[in-house]
Amino acid sequence: MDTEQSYLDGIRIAQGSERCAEAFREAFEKNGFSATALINDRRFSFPCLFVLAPQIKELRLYPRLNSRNLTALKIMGQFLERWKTGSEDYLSVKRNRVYTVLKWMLETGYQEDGMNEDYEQIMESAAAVLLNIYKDDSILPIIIDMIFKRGIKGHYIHDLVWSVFKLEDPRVLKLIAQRLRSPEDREAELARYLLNLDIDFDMTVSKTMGMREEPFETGIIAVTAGEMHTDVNDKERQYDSYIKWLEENDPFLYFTEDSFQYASKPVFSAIDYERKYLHKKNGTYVKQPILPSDSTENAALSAFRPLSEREKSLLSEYSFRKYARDPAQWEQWIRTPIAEQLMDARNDPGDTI
Amino acid sequence: MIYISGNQPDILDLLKEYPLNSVESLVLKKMSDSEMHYRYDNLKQLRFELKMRQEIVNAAHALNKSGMGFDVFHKSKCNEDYWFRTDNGGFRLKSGIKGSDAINDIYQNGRKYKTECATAMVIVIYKALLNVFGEALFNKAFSTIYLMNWHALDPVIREFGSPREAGDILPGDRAYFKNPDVDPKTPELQGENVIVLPGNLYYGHGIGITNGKRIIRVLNSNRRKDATRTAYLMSTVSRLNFKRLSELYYSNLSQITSLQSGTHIYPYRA
Repeated sequence: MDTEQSYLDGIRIAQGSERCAEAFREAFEKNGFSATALINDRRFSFPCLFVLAPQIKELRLYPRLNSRNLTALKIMGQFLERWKTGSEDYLSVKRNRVYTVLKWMLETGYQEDGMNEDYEQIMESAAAVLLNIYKDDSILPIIIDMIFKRGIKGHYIHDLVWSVFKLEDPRVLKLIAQRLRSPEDREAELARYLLNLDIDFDMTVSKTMGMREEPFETGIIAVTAGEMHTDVNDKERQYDSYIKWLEENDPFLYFTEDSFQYASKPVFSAIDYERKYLHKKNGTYVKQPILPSDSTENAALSAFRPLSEREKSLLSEYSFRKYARDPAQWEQWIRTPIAEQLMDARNDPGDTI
Repeated sequence: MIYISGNQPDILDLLKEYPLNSVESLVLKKMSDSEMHYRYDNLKQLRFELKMRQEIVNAAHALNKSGMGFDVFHKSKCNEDYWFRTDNGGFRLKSGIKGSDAINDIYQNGRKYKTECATAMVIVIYKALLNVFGEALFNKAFSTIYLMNWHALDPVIREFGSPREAGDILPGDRAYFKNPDVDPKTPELQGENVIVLPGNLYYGHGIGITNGKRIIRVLNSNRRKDATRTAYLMSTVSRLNFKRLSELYYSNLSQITSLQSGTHIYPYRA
C-alpha cells in the first residue's frame, strides 16, 4: 500500500528521531538490503536522512544509496564544512540533479526547521542556493515562513533574511507585510522591523520585546513617517496602508543590499527620491542613476540633490502627488526655485493638492 | 579642522602631549588637516576621544592575538562560565558575573570562543571601554552585555551599529568591505567588518591584521561563479558617540580609582 509517509518517517514523526534511528538499526541487523531500501524509498524525507546520516556513514552504506540520498549527503557535508578544501563543489555551478535534490531537501525538510543548529544551517544554505543561484522564487513563501517561525523562537534569521532580500523582488515585501496582520504580536513586530516601520526587535526571547528607541538617523529612510498608518493595534489598517504605499511607490522602489552583518537596523529597500521627484519610473528594482532629459530636469535635480534626506522625502512625495493631480501644472511648478517648492510641500496639509 | 568651543586650538601644543606616531597624534593630525569640522565643547572631550581611539586599536591588536576562532553563528561557542550562548548564536553575560571579568576572559581564553566578524568588533569596543573606564565604572555602566553582531547594542554604543557617510576614516572607526557578488552558500563572506588601524591596516576577525588589498582579494575569491562586481571598501564608517561616552566617564570620574593610577592602560606603538 502506498501512503504519504515512508515507513521510517512514520516512526520519526510518531515516536521521535531516536526511535527512528533505533528502528533503522534493527532493520539493518535483520537485513541490510531491506534496510537500505527503506531509506531509498521515494517517499523518504530529508529530516529522516539527516537523522540517519551518522548511521549511514558508520555502516558504510554510501554505495547502496540512491542518487537523491547520496547527493543530499554530499550537499549536507558541503554546507556544514564550507571551508574544507579539496572536496567536490556541488553548488557553485547549476546542475539539474543538484537542483532537484536541493528542492527535495527544502520542501520535505522546512517544517522540521529548528531540529538543531546544523539542521538550521542546512535549511538556510539550501534556501540561499535555490534563491540566488537557481533563482527559484517559488520557494519564497516557505522561506518567509521559516524566517517568522525562527524569529518568534529567537533563533538565527540573518542569513535567511539576507537571501530573500538578495532576490530584489517586491513580492518579498508583500509576503512579509502579510505578517503585519498576524494575531501573534511578536510575528507582527518582526514584520514591522523587516519593513522598517519604525520599530526595534529583540531577536532573542529572554528580554522585553519590541522596545522602541528614540529616532536615529541612518542616512536612508525606508518609509516616511506620516505616509503610513502607525497604530500597531490596528493591524489590518496598517497592512492596508503599507500595501497601498508599496503599490504607489513601486515604480521608484529599489533594494539596497543592506544586511544585518553591516548594520543594526538595515534598510533593505528604499525609495529613489530623485526618480519620485521627477516622476521618472525605474524599470528594475536596482538603483539606477537618472539621466536628465532636458535642462529643466537637470536644473531641478541639481537643486534637489543637496537637500537633506528628510527634505527629499517630503518634496518627492509632494511632487508625486502634484503630478498625479495635474501634470501640466506640475510642469510649471518643477521650474520654480527649490525653496518655493519646499515651502509648498511644508505648507501642504496633506490630501489637498 | 578641530574646534573647541568654536575656536581652533593650537594643534602643535596638543601634539606635544602624545608620542610621535601614536594613535592619538595620528588622529589629531588627520582631524586637523581635514576639511571636516570636528567640534568639541572642551579639550577633555577631544582627549577622551583620542584615548578611546588608542584603546580601540590596542584592543583590536590584542583580540587578534587572543586565539579567538572564527565561525558562523550556528557554530559559535563561548566560555559558559561567563556567558550564556543564546539560540541565535549570540553570547549574553551570565547573571552574577562581572562584565569586566567576562570581557577579559575572551582575551585571556580566546580559544574557548568562536564567532563572526561583526561580533568581534563589538568585543573590541567593550574591551576599549573597559580599559578607559576601569572596572568599577565599566561594570556600573554595562551590567548587561549581549554580544551578537550589531543586534541589541547597548544604547551607549548604538552608533557603532549604524554606518554613515564620513569625510574621513580614522583609526578606531569601524569600516566595512562589501562583497556584493558573494557566493550564496557562504553568506558570512558577504563582507568584512574591520577596525581601522594606523598605517592603512585593518583588523578583521578571521582575516587578521592586514591591508585593504588582501581583504578584497580574500572576499573576491569567495564570489559566485558569474560574479561581475569586485569587493570594495565602503565610504561609510561607524563611529562611537565619543561625546556621550566622555560625559558618562567624567560624570563618574570620582569612582574611577584604577584609571587614576593608569596601570590598566597599555600603550600601542604603531
